[in-house]
Formats: sequence, structure tokens, C-alpha cells
Amino acid sequence: MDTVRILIVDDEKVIREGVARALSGRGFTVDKAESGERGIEMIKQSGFDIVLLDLMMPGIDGFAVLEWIKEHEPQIQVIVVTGFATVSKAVTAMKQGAFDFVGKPFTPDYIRIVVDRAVDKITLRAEAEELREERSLSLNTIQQEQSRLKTVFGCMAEAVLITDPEGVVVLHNPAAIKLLEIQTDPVIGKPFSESISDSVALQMIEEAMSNGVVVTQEFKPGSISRRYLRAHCSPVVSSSGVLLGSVTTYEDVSTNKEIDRMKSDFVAMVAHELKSPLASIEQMIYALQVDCKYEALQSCNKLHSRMTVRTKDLLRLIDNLLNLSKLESGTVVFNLEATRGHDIIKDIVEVAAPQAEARNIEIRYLPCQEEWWFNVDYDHIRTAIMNIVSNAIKYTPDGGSVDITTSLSGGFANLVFSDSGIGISQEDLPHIFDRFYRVKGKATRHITGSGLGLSLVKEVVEAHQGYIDVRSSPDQGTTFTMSFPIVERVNAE
Amino acid sequence: MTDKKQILLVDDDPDFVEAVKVIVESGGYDVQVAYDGQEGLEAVAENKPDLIVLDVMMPVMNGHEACAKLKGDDATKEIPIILLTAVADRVTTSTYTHRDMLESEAEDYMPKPVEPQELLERIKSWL
Repeated sequence: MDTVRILIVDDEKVIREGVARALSGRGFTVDKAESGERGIEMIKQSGFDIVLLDLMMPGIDGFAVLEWIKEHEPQIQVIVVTGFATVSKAVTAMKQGAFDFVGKPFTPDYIRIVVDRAVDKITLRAEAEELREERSLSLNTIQQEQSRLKTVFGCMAEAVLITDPEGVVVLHNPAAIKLLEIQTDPVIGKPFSESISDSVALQMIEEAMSNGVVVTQEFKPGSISRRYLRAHCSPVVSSSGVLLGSVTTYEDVSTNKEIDRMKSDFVAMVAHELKSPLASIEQMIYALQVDCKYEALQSCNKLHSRMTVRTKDLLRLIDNLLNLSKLESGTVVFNLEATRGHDIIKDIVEVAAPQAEARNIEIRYLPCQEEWWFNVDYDHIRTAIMNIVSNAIKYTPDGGSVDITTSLSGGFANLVFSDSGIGISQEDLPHIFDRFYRVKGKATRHITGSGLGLSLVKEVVEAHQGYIDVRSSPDQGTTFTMSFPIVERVNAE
Repeated sequence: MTDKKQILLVDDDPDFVEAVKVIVESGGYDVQVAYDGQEGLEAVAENKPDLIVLDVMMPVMNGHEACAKLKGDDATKEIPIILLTAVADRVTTSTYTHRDMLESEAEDYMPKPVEPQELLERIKSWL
């Protein structure tokens, strides 16, 4: 602690000097006052730790000073100095809160012992004060910790139900009521089975408590909740081995289950999409072995060329699948550059022309008057538009037509592709962008494809902040509309 | 009509149909083709075959449905049916339900693709 400050209040100069001398050289600050009034004044001004106080003084006497100190500066230790003749007065002073007394005449040693004791007391008090502060701080922390735990418990998404050894619910969180759809009120204080009437749910708690093991159980929708739940029940055992109850957490795993289901569906779908064409190819290989023995070369060649086509289709399907997966995982880097809309469409129409001419289909491209530019990855968008044009040709009977028009509105360029093809039924229409979805029927029987083309187109268009829409009437034709945000014309460098 | 036995092939993949047709014809049979269950039933009604090779997974009407219809009709229940399936291992997903072959009333079943000698022997055994 800091330097101890001592004040001597005595009307007798000899005593003041004597006490001061006895305490000198011990590291104390010592001040002197010759009267009660002066003493109080000095205490008000400077503040002291210990006051050595003469009881018998003219004016304000020692008792009055003591009373003032106890009222205004109770932390000051007061040592009363008094003659042996008035020892009873010293006792009274002690009762009023003085720390100790020194009888006159006194030896310097005795003064030092008494003062040292007072110093010790002050030190102890300071330490006790520190401890008390620490204690109240840690109490605060515990309280905070408790309220934090309570908040966590209350906000948890998982349902928590706690029972005693008899299976009576002693605590639960709000999620338990919500997730387990409990309608019992109140839940606490009643057997678990009263709120959840499911034998499996009850059994897992009993098993956890009687075997002292963690029990995990899954609950299908409709058993204890509308959601798919995974529950863990742990027994709670005290350090001395006494069973205190059980804690069961219920976690909503519906989303995981749904993803699992989609994943296995997808794998099965891919397996099927790969296996079917392979089975056909293998069948053609078998047929070829048989055929080449008995039939003309021409038939043999036909099988051979179909096998080549199907193998190429299969490879393209795998490529498309990889592309789609790359697009969906966001690992494709698009090299966006301002591209003139007219250029890209003109290029596609030229490339598609032979395919159309071979089947006597007319492609008519009617661009809008305005020039427009859009910010796209040229290769990806070209492939996407090409896919739409190529589909239009594929699904249009010989001698039909494909019309391509463009228009600008509201900051978007609209690309419209209309064919006079076989069209798509209302049942099929909502699914045509689904992976592997292929319209099956007499008219499409001989048209091959992976069923991934439109899924890819949609992914690419949307990655460019564009939209794709489709309208169709069976036997009349299909119209695909693509819309892309246009950008300011960029001057070629 | 020839005195050759009539075999009806039903599968939605034209290449597969063509390949199996070549094989079956090499065994000295006449082959009719259809590309889904519904067409298969129509073909049977028009020209009753001696045996049907029927794919399971087909659009419009699948092989199981077509098989049940044929077996449920006194006029056609005697025609032997060999079911073909690509998913011989039992994979059940929400999209493709693969029914246990044992539940089917078909006389026989074979996984795709079918080995030519095996197919011809099976056909022969049911005729």
C-alpha cells in the first residue's frame, strides 16, 4: 500500500513531539494538530489513515473528534491517547469505534507497536476489500454465464428435453415444443410419455438411462414430428455414479435427407442414362457378329454407323454432364466482353444453315433496326444459342421453317426463336429444362440427345443475368425467348 | 403369312430394336416391332405373335403394365413373354421404380444387353 499518513491531535506540544519522534524514520507521513478543530480541518483537507487522538482537549475534545471521524471518515483508524487516570474514558472511546488506546506516559516502542497494528489492520482491510471486489466480479461473471447459457438453450434450433431418472420432464427449450409439436401444457413435471406418445422415443430414453449409454435414433416424418429428426439421448450421471436423468436432443435433418435423396436419385439417373445407350451399343455389337455372317454388307454398315453415332452421343453426354457440374459449382470462369448481338446470331445462322438445308428447312433471321451489345462470354453464349437453333431444326419436320427475330425493350435484348416443329405438350413443357428430361413419343423416337442441352443453356443464360422462356403448341411449333441485359455500345479499339 | 413363328419386339430405343431384330431373324423367326407398351398391345391385337420380347422401361406404357394387361386378357395370356431390363440389379429411386421381377407374371426375364445365343435358346424353349 501507499505511504501511511498519520495525524497527531494533542493540545500538549510535548506529547505531539514525542509521538512524532517515536514514529519518525519508519516511512510514515506524520502531521500534527494542536486542537480538535485544527485536527478536523486537516483531515478534511488531506485525508489520513491513522489519527492519534488526545481525549482531553480544550474546545472540541477527543470524543467529539472521534464522533466526527466515525461519521465522515470511517476508514480512519483512531488510536486514543489518554492518561491512566482516565482509562475508563479510553474504554468508552473504544466502544465508540476507536481502534486502540495508549496510556500516558508511554514508551516510544509501545506507540510503534500500536501504530503497526493499526497499519496491519488497514492493510488487511484493503486486501479484504480487493477480495470482495474480486468475488463480486466472479459472481457477476457466473450470473452472466448463466444468462448466456439460458439464451443459448432458448435459441437453439435443436430441440432439447431433459428428464429425471423416472422419466419426468424437468426442462425443455422452446424448440422442443415447436419441433416435437407438443401440446401438453405444462410439459415440465409430467412424464415424457404424456407429451410424446411414441414408444420408440420413450424406449431410447429408458435404454440410455438403464444401460448408461448414448442412444441415437432417427425418426421418420410422421412419427414424432412432421420433420425428419435425428435424436441423441445421453444419460446424466453424477461424479459419484448416481443417475440424475437424461438429456435428449432432436435435430431436424430433413434437408440432409432431401439432399441425400436427390444425390442418390441423380446417381441412379446418370447410371441409367449411361447404361441405356451402352446396352444398345453392346446389343448392336452382338447383332453385328450375327449379321455379318448372314446379311449383306449394307445392313452391316448401317449398324456400324449407328454404333458410331451412339458412342459419340455418349461421349457428348459425359462432356455435358461435366460442363453442367462445373457451371453449377461456379468454377467456370466467364470471359465477359462486350459483343455485338447481330454478329453472334449471324454466325450461328451460317453454321446451322447446312443442317437446315439438308432437311429443306428455311432459317429466316430478321434483326431489329438498332444495333445492340451485350456483355457475355462469346463461346458459352454462342454454344447456348446454337443449342436452341439446332433443337429448333431437329424438332421441325422436313420443309418447315425457323424464324429468328430480335427486339430491344427495358434495357434488355430479346432473342426469339420460333419453329414450325412438332411442339411440346403441356405435360412436358414444365420439365424441358430438367436434367435428362427428354420428351418421349413417336415423333421424337429417332431424335437422339443427352437430355442435358437445355439444362446447360439455362445455366449459361442465367449466369449472364439473362432469362429464357418457352411457349409451345403441339404440332404447331415452339418458341424460345432469351433475354439479356444490353450494354452501352463499346467502340472497337 | 409365312409358317415362320412370329416374335414381337417392344423397346423404345430404335437402335436396340434393330439390333435384336437382326439376332432374332437370324434364328429363323419373323419379327414385328413396337416402340412402347401401348404400341405393343396394338400390335398384339392386330397380329397375335407367338412370343413377345418386352422391355421394362418405356414411355407411355412400361413393360410391367403391358405385361399385366396381356396376362389379364384371356385372348393373350398364353403368349410367352420375356421381359428385358437394363436395371437388373434392384435400384429403387423416386424416379425409377424397379419392380421385383418375381412379382411379374412374365414367363422369363433377361438383363440387357442380351447375348444372341442365349436369347435364341430362351425363345426356342418357350415356343
